Amino acid sequence: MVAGTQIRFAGSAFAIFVLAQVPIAAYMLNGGPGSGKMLLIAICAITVLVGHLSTPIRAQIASHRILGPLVWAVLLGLIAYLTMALHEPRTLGSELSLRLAMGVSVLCLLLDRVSGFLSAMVSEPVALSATLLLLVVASAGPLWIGPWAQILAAQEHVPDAIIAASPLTYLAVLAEHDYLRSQWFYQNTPFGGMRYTYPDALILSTVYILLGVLFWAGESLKRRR
Amino acid sequence: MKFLVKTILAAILISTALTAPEVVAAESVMDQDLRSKAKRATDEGLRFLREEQEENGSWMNSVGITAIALRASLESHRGYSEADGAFITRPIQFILSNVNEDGSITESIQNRNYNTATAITALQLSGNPAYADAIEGGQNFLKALQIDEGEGYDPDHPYYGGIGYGGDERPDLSNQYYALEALSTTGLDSGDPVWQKALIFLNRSQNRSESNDQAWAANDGGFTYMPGYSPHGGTGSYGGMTHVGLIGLLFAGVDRNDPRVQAAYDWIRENYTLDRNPGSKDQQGLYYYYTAFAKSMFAFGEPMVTDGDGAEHNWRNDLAAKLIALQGDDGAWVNDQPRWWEGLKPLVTARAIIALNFSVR
Repeated sequence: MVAGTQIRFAGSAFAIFVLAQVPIAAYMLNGGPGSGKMLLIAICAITVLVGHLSTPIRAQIASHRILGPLVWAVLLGLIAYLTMALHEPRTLGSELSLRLAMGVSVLCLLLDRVSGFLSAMVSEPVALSATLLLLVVASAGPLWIGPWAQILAAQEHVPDAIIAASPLTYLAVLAEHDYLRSQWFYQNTPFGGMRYTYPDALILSTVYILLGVLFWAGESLKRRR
Repeated sequence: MKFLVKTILAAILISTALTAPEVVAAESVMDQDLRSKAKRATDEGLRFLREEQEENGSWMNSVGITAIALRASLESHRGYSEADGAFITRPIQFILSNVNEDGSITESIQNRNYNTATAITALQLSGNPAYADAIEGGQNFLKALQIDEGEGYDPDHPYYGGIGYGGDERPDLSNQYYALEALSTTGLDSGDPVWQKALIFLNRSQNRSESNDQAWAANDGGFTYMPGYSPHGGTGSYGGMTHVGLIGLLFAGVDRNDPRVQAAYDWIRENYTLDRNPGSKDQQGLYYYYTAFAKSMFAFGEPMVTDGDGAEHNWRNDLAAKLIALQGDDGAWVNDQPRWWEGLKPLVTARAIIALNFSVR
């Protein structure tokens, strides 16, 4: 990657870092936990969202189809790591924040590859919007499934599948945090009163990485035709 | 002379009543036919539990459910122990196989408090000193879960002194109760700071403005799930939490004549029923209520309860009759309202048996 690209990358990453503080501040001002693992999960989730929205910037700066997304994903992980340290200084250097930062990178890379795959079939703005919609719907699964949760709970493993499909769950298992029983989720989803099992963090990470590779391969095939 | 004999006999009876109210109440207050039926119902329930036991000795591969089912057997009128065989020893081994380095006894990150608390309670009830290390580790884990300065909370915070599920920091009265029961059963020193901190959270969960410094507190004397929230809506008091709140106060060393305890007991009297969990939606948490009812009534020590209409109730008879009526043909109990795992037969059956165990004591 040439020096100019590196500088533009770094500059854009810094801008994203600064921009990400705005929704994080809004989250905390609106009563979100000001400390603890839920705050770290929220920081990581917001970073993933901001990172996805910044994909066009990344594409402009580095059009290299392999290195570009990889480096951007790592930078977003670093942004999450620094933001966590900013708001929770005691997490600096901890295994917890490193795991979460890695999780941010994995999620951002997967989202980048999903939108890349879709953009081989539709325009980039549509691909980005569709990926964003997918992210929001999957993350909010435990919420919108609410009215049907008790019915679905009668089917073994269905609640576990709904929970596993949410990227928020991925961040939560990396943090070893039972987020569905935190105050807001307990009051707004039915899962707090149900029996469920969180997926294994290593298995989820592997699945996300493999999915990213599959979407990448799919995009390459489509662009060759 | 006759008067002297009568006086001496009365003194003996009164002193016996004051020193051992539970023994007197159980054997002389409960309808004996009902007591026999309750014991038979217990036997049927225990038979169901043995049939549902997994190969590894657990129930549903859950430490918490296993510990509660084990407790149901250990505390039953049969007085089961490890000497009685594998249906006792294997669940104990399953529990011990889930002891973790941090002292928790759990198979998952969620329910760490509930699992550890019920596990060390069951291990303590086994009476085997070989489990002392596991119990002590569990005690230390539960104490560390309590929300206090260690987690960055000061005494003014509504969470302070509470204990939650153990997978996140949100405390609630139900989880705090399980932890306090475990700590009390396993002999934690009454001077340990955990009790006074717990009392702060208990006060903030009671609808009693004289002792609750939270603005939302009403004044019916009952308890809600956690400061400022009831899963049945608003901040209302309901049966399950009022009973565990009352026991929690007693665990924390509050005298039964304290206004807080009396206010909770008055709420229980005013809302006395065994047809539902008073204050709850539908029949949610019904068997949790029955278990909490049995424990709190036993701990409070009054064999008769006068309800809000002035009618007297023998709580032992009422509870036993209700549970016998609800028992299924297979010996099990289950709640048609499955919230809070009450659709799981082994768990609900174990809870019902524990409630019956207290009623026949």
